[in-house]
Amino acid sequence: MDLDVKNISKSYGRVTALNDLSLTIPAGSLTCFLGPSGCGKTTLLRVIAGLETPERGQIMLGDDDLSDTAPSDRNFGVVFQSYSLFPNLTALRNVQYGLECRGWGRTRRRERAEEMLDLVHLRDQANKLPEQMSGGQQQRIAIARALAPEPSLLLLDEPLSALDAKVRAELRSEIRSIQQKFGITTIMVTHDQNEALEMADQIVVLREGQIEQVGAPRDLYTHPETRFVADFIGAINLLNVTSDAQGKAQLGTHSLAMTGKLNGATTLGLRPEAITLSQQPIGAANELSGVVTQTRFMGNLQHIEIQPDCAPEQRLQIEMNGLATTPASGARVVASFPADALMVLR
Amino acid sequence: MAEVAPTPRRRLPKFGDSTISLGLSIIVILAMAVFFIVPVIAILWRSFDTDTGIGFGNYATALNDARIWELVLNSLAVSGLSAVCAVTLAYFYAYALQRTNVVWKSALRMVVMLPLFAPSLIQAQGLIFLLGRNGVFNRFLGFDIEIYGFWGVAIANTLYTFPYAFLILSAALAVADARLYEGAIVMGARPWKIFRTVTLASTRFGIAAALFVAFSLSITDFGNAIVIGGNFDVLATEIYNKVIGQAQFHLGAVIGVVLLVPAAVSKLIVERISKKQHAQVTDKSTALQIRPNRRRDLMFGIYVGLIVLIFLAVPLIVVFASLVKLWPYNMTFTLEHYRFDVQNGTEPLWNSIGVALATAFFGVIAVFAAAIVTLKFRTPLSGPISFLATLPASIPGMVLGLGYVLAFNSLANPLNFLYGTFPLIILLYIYYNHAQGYLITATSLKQISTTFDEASTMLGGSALRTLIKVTLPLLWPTLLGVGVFFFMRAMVSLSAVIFLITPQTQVAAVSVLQLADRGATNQAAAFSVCIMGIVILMLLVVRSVLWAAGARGVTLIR
Repeated sequence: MDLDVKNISKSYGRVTALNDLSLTIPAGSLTCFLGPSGCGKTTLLRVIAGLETPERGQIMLGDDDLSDTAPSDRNFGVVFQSYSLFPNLTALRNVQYGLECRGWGRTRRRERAEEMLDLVHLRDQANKLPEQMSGGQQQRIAIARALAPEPSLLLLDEPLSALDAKVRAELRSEIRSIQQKFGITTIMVTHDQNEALEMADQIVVLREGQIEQVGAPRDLYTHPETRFVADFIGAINLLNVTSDAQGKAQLGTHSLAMTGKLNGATTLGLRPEAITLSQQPIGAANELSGVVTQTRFMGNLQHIEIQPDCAPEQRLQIEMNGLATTPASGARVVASFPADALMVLR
Repeated sequence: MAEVAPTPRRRLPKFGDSTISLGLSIIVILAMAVFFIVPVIAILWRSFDTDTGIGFGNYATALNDARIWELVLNSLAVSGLSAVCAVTLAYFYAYALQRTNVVWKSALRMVVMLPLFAPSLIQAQGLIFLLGRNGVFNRFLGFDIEIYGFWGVAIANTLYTFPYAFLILSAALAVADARLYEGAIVMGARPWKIFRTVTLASTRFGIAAALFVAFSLSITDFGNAIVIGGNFDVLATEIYNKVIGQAQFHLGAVIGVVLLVPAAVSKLIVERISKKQHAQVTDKSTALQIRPNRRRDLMFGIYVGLIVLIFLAVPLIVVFASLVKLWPYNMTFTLEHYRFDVQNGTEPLWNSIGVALATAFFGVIAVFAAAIVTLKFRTPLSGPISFLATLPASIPGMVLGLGYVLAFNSLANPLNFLYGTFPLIILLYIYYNHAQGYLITATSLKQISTTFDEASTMLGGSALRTLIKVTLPLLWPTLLGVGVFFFMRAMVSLSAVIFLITPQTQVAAVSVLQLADRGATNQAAAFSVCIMGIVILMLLVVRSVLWAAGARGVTLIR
């Protein structure tokens, strides 16, 4: 069943956390709420869970209105950033907790809990207390605990941000594969764009309590609608352009070829990897000559910054893969990019 | 499209959590109202109730009497002096333990805590054996000291309030930012200058708080003053004389209200101070390392030695006196005083143990319930409950006790049947000590992250299940500690229950007073020793239970 969030508003005193927000989470998908801190993503998750009461709006699961349902009766599984395993219970007892609340019989409870521990590969830790386990293990147990009562929705509140980089990478793919195996509708809150891009079916970018853009990871990357989304997901060159007499984009003194219309926008986005550098013009749709102002060696990548002749105020960041020989600082180069690489941003 | 959307099915919340929380909140607030608010109102009302109707007549009578001003002056002088002495002595004692390398620190800490384990008149008892007319110094060492009166009360109250001041100052001196000290040393400051500009400055809030706490403890204390005061009367003893001696309840009520003022004011000041103190140490502070310095350690070693001597001398002389035939005339060893062949025999002792255990049990339930409804089950009553829960701290024991008499002795009170029974004494002990018990519990409860509650809720657990399965298992060591606190207070405190005692409901601390009053000093000493023994035994038992359960870091002595 799809989850529908309808016209939710929530404020804390004078601060508006969520402003008339509506959204559909398709059944069986993994949706990421992405945004900087304070954008309202965690508040939205907590409203859906029922841990916060919104001033207005509804939470619908299929045809059921859950707005007045107590959080304990919603049958949603939640995984918190801080693991929140009950410190006085063993891993196995933690996983059984939700089943006890639902009055499952002893044997059935135990079987289900062991099955869940197998799922997260921690059967051997069943009798350990949370404090005896590593952070990654605790978070796996927390996932098993959330899934054990067969919830209709899984909510993950920044589940990986307390873990170190290596464990985080492992758990990303593990969470994703468990989610796909069960086909459980899942919402994950994160501020890490890479996490969202890797794991999500759908990303909801939030900003100041409102939805900035919703879409599949690839769509958001290739077609960001606003400067905020373009800047938040991946690196991007933001070109300040003006509109000429024919309505074409003008970067300084140079006319740019593009596929869409400006429609009054003043910013164009251009991904660093879409730009090719050469010493001579190569006959691309857009070619800007300029001077290299800076180069940075990053291992697998090299960053080059150039100052185009047509607009001396502007800097272009270019990314080159591998160990290609790069022009030195001060060298004259031509930066080329196709017409469809330019994205119109609000 | 004129399609009518299907009406969504609305799932209604189950009957449960909110009803339970509201119900519990109402019970908690009702109990507070009946056993705390009503007695306080009763004493206020009685103080305004004159033969000619409601008015300031009683106050006029009392304040026109020159005697009351003398008592106010006596109280202020003796409490002020003992507060200053206790804080000064305790400051250097705490400094020795926190900032120097004196040895046997944990033993040193325990010794000065001894007054907390004993009935609150043991200082006067011990001082009389040491410095009284028949005391060691006058009788055997050829001195001629007159201890009864101002100086006796001042010394006794200094000893009595020392541990409270020490606990506050020790906490203040425990936190220090090493960077400040390094800064001062680098700039070339001498040790004395560093002490004045850094140490004293950074502990000034602690000093102020300790002064006010010691002052309000002294001014409301009754046991020491009545035993060693002689003809020197203070406000606290005057209430006793007015009520017990002359049955002038209205004048007792007036003095009670007068006594309420300094106690309440100093309580308010302490609260403001403690709010200021938090920002003193930040997460960037670095811990102070104690530098080796033998001369300093030797000086402080001698100082703490002297203090320890005094704090051991008082209880030890009481123990000694309880073991001799007739102090000071017949010093042969005997256990006869422990046979307790006085009027009620050992009954008051057993009564005290029963009352203290019941106070511990029900007191823990009361403060836990109050903490739960203010912090976990939020209802509209949470705010008022949290305010009321800490209010008893500003009410002196004698005043609350008198309030109980006035409120429950009245036939108009439907709970009148409680008057003259143990349950009322237990309730008085619970609500008299409610504020501290509540604060300890609430602080621990706050440290249990709310995400545990949220995790439990999302797994389908009710508030009650969360409480039983998660909160209680995490909180029990603290609750046990609170229970010990209630037990200790119920065993030793005297002033709160002095008006509620009947021949049928005698408790040990009051027996000590009555025996001492009658001149049966040896038996009084034996009673004191038994009370101390029971409290210390209880502490040891609970400490080993906690140790066996692996619960570390629970403070039992407060």
